[in-house]
Amino acid sequence: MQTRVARVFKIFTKGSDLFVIGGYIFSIIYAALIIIPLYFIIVSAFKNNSQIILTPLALPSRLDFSKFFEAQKNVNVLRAGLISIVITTGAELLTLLLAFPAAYAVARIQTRLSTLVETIFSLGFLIPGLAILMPIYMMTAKAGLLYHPIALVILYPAFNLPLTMILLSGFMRKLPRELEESAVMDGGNVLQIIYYIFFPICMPGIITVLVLNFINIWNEYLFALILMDSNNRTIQLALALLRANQRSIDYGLIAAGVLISMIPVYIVFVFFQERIMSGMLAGAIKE
Amino acid sequence: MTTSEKLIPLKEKTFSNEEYGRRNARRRRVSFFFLVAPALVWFLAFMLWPLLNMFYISTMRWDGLNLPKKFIFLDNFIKFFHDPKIAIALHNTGTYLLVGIIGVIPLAFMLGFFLSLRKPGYRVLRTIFFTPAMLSVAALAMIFLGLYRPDGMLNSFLNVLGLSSLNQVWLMNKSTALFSLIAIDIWGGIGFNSVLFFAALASLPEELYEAAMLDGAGYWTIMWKIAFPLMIDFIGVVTILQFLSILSGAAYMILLTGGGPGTATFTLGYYLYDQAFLSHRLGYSQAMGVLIFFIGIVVIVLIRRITSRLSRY
Amino acid sequence: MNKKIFSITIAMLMIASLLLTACGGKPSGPVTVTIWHNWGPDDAKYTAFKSILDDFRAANPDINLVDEVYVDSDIPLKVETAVTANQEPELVFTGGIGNAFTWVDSGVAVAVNDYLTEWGLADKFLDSAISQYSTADGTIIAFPIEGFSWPIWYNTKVLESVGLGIPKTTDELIAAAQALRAAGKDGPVVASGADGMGGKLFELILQSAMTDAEAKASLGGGDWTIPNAIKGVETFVALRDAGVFVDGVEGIDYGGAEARFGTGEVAMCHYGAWAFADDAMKPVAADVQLGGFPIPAGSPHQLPVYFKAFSAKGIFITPNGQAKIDAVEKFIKFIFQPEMIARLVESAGMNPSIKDVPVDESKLNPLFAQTLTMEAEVVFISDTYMPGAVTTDFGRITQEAFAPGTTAEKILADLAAAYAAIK
Repeated sequence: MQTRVARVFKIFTKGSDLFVIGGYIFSIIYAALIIIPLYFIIVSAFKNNSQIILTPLALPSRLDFSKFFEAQKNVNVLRAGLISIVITTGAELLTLLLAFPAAYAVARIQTRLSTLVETIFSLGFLIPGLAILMPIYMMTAKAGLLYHPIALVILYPAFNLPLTMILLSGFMRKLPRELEESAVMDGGNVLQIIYYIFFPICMPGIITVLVLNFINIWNEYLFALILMDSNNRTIQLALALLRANQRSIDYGLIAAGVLISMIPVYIVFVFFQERIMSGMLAGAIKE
Repeated sequence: MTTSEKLIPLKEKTFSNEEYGRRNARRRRVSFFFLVAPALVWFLAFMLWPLLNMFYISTMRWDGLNLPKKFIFLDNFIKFFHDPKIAIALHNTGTYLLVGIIGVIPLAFMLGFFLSLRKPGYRVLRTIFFTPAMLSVAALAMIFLGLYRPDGMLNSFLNVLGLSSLNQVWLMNKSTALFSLIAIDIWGGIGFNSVLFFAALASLPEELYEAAMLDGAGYWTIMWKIAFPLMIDFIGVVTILQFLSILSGAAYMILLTGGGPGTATFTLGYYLYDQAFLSHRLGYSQAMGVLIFFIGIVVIVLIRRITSRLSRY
Repeated sequence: MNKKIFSITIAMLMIASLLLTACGGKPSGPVTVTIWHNWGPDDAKYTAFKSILDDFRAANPDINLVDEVYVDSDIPLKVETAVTANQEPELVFTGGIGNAFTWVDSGVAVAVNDYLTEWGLADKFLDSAISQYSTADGTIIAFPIEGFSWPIWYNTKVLESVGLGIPKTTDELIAAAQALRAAGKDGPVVASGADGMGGKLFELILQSAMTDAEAKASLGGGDWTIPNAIKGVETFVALRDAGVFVDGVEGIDYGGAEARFGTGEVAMCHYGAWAFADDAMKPVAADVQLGGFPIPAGSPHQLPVYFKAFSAKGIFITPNGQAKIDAVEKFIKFIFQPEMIARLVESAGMNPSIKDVPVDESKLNPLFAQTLTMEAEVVFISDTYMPGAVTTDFGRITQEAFAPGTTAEKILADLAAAYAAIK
């Protein structure tokens, strides 16, 4: 079949290069479309409103860091960032702890319950956040966890379980059956199989869900707003406050706040990129 | 089912085949239960009760969090047929979905494939492509307001190209407003989903492509004849994700157009938000939640059917 | 991920979480009164408000006053949610707009009628302020505190460049528009057609043709068959079609309009008192004269019209506040002392809701000082009577109204439909 395909698409064989060139061209154009707005945010952090609105892409006349300090002074962006990081780390770990065994069970253990369980989790996608705001608020208040970041660490995994489950079990289904067999040969029980074999192999999938969940948690606003008070603001709440002044908006201030809040995100992403590489290399060597 | 497909605890080797099967099934079920229980419990606690609550409230007339509820049975749903805004919302949402998904998934897949080839610079590109997803809502609002303003970057850019006749009031012109918002989703969606596809494609062994290339197949062929069939399920999942996020999405409408001008960008997700937070018709908004819920189920089932049929190819 | 990293992360998480416990939470002790407001560091009233709170704390060591800043539009949702679990703050600073008027009925706030009399404050407040926080049956929902005026800003320099003065009637305005456009400039009025602020200009123009009673019947009651209401819409459309608004007005948002006006190229804009000290306005502030919007021929008003209201902020007492009413009483009496209010007036250009506020004229923001003497007529802002459920539709209709090509008939039809839909 390969050779027939090759004959039909002969024009594309040399066009491996064509494809790559096309790919690069598209990628560069698209990357530019992303970098330009990013650049806009960066330079805006050093300008005042009129400059931002009238000359958005011009370089700032001076490197005036006052907006950054103002953002920090007004809403304590750094503390909010720290709180968000702690919440996110905790929620991510909890999500993984809960979802990984469950995804394994659904994907690899043959019982009739698998489909049922998976369907139950899928339904979670369809629940709009507003619908559950009130009940969750009351639950949190009753548990005495109101205004404590732990409340969000406990809550967010529930929101992220559907997606995590679906992605992880999807990944795991594809893996060959021999994986369990080799563990069985070594006399392992289920938990050992999961930890020593599946966990490393599923690294790409795990990274994927970690990144997706990170974004969901980091950008979540509604529940953070209702369940936290002004001492325990998350990063999004702090940023929103930068435009809290009733009618007048200082775009430069917002830009500065946005940049400060993106630093941890970028650090996390870069950090995890390294883990992808080492995780996949480990998988390849094992084969 | 061959024996290699079951988890066979070594200790059980001495039983007869039948008992073997039964014991195994129970053992499997027990392991299954213990592995799944924590996640399930967590999920049900926080999602199931509120979901039931949503159905319950959708049968009420409830005009404020602290006001009394009044049971009106299915009146909220009957209202769907009399409410012209629902038809408009469905129409706008439908357009958004069609353009949003067709505009994102194919391109994202191709871009993800390109990234998975790990050509020089792919790591940098990957980080850049993922950036839109990392931008918070505040940042996105700022960027796109600055872009779409009458004196903003898009119109200025067109002017520089000598295309000033194409200048529009992008967000407030009835014919361009909706597509301006969809463009934002496409802009971010291609990048974000391409990284997702990369992660999935990266787990494929390199030998797969090498074998094909030895036979003289080019990348384009490999992409559609090899990578695509292997990824059909995942593509289905990603499509579902994109679909659901558009279906219930309201962020850009809230930040940039308020559903307007007129009803040009009035979508189902925005209507739900509007009724819940702005107009305080909580019962009606929950009915919309129920509607979105059922549309979502139908779509998930549909996409699953399609991908399972395609992957049997 | 190996075990070491895992356990280190968990350990760090636990430590961090403990630290947060130490930092967060509410301090206990003497009576705690919590206030939710949005006068944070970026608000002009911040310094004055902070000084008032600090002075109160110094004078009342037995009361633990805690103030928390939140985004203005989030506060109603937060309060309503908090009440359901008995966690609401004692006092809430928020606007007398929309749903707030249902709060006394739904138990989110308590009526203050009795407190006004018991605490001897009944005569201190301006009648107009109190009436804006009163429901139809006389329940007063909060103590009004923030008043504002919302005048039209005239850049006299731009007008003089075409040899004109400030227009007082719509005919004069149209003439000014024609003169300016002939001279190569843009239309005189910049507005934020894209968001709610432009909607208020739309309302103002409508009200320039109506009496307050008619405004209440149309904007409040949804009766769009009233002749003057129709005339108001037609006036708006006529002005728009005569080029009175800048090109592309329907796409300009709040920040954009301010920036535009701040460049000194445009003759008029519609901004409230909160903008008097804005950086964006500083370049043109010296050339600005404040006034009302020109009135159409046959208008029931004598002078150009503008909004002046107290709907921006009122102090609401919640059920939790009622439980600590003695402490609350002390705070309310403290903040409404004329000297305290004077601080807010002087530093932030706030219109006081009480009478006899001793203000040092020299300290006033010059634009604010203008509002005290300008020749214009006040019309009643719709915040108090426009039904909350229709405001978003109304916003979308005004967005469309600013776009060229929308006819008066369409606007009126849409308005009638929107109000009918909420019945």
